[in-house]
Amino acid sequence: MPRRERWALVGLAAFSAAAFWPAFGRIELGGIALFGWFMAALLAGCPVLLLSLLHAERRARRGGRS
Amino acid sequence: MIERWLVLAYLAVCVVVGVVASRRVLDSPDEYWVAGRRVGTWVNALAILAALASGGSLVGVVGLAYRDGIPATLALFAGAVLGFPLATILVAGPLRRLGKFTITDFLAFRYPHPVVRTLVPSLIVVSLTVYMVSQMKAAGLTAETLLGIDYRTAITWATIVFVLYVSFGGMVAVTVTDVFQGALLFGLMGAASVVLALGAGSPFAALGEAARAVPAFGELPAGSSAYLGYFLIWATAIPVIPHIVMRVSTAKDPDSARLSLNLATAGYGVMILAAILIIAPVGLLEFPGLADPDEVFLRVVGEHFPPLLRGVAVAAVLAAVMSTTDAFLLAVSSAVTHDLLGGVLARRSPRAQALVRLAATWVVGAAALVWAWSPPELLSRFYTAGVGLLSAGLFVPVVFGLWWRRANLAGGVAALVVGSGVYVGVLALGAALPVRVEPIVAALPLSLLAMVWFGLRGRADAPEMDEAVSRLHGR
Repeated sequence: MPRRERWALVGLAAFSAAAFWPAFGRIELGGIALFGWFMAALLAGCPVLLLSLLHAERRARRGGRS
Repeated sequence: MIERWLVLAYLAVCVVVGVVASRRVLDSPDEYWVAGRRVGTWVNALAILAALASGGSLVGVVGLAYRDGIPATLALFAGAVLGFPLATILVAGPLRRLGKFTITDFLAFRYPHPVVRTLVPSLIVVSLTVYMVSQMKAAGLTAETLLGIDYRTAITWATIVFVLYVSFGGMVAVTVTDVFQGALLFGLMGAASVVLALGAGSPFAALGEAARAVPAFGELPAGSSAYLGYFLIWATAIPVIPHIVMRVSTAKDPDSARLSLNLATAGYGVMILAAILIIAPVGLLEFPGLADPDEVFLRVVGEHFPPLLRGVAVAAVLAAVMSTTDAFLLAVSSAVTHDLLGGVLARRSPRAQALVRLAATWVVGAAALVWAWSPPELLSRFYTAGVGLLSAGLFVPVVFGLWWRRANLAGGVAALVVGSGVYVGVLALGAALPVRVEPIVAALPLSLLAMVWFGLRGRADAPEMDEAVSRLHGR
């Protein structure tokens, strides 16, 4: 597995685990539990991360060819 | 009246697509199950989006947010979106390189054992039939609420239509209709969000107001760990759920499979955020105290859209239902005729194989329809429980079978049996257990434990298996 993808998986796992920390379920921001905002960030951030990973992989492959 | 004509026209187009596609696909398993493996990236992305964004996610997401609040609902759908990186990085490339049709094909190749050949398709049939029933409920509710058509009449006709085009047109018909349905869905969610945001003055005005009016809307449900279960189920389901795996197999190459998954994730994330943060708060403020939370989305659409757009909305919800249900129906049909009966059917003529595929699709569709006449409450919870069975049984054997060198036959079979068995056991016993635990929270670690235990202590697989798995990684 490419190193970039491995780190992306580790980062996502760490972020998800941190979001489930009980305190984040009690602290609120704008009337919504912080846990909820973390989940919203995951919903918005995952696709961006995925697309940038794929873009980097393609660029690396093109660089390897030339 | 115009709403009914729009929906009728839409259903007629679906049937025509199925009949036209049947000329190409009926005699070729490759065409029937995976559309000849030549579906392009954007088409596949829209089809994946449509298959994933079910009636449950359209009608059910708003209902779940209405009842359980925003954070718990976000957890369910963030789990699904997290599942896409897992699918893209861990399984999409290798499964596409395998060049087969279904998740059972991969598991039976990696763990060649009769238990795998029979248990995996059986889990798929049970789990996806549960999911289909929840989709049919969404279709029936939509037709009843917005068109005034009797619930049972509506789901009967909708079922006849999608069974017709799936059974005759296979994956080609499913792909063509899903692309249209995906675009319609995305358009509806976008239009609904813009209309509501403009009405409220800003995109999140209703969100703040709803959180102030009903504080529980922004809080995690007290004393519940269900949201952790939702999250885990969906994060681990996406890499193994059969209809997504079949879509990966339709891609023209592994790169296209990965990119289409990524693009579908982006569209899905935007749709779900709009539903939870913009539409659900409006529903809570305008329609408090509904007995069936699944009605909220439809009530909001009925209140804020003019008649023509209401017709489009009904068609879009039906599209959401049908695009997911048709993919499931195809996956269940493949589980029966390809995975379970494949060995027997291989000796029959192509015409006989096609007839069995048709018959299986009609029987599964009819069974789901009868169940849907008396449906359960709260769509999202019901279908998530069904999907959990697949996550519990399949995630560990699939991912470890690809990425752990010590994974072996005994470990794979044990992880499958333990994961699915514990999930069903905890779900069935429920309140009778001394400690309250989510089924998936118990099942996944025990499935993992079984894999590691037998992997470390059991007999290693033959070196040829290592080489075959290496080839799946493109090495």
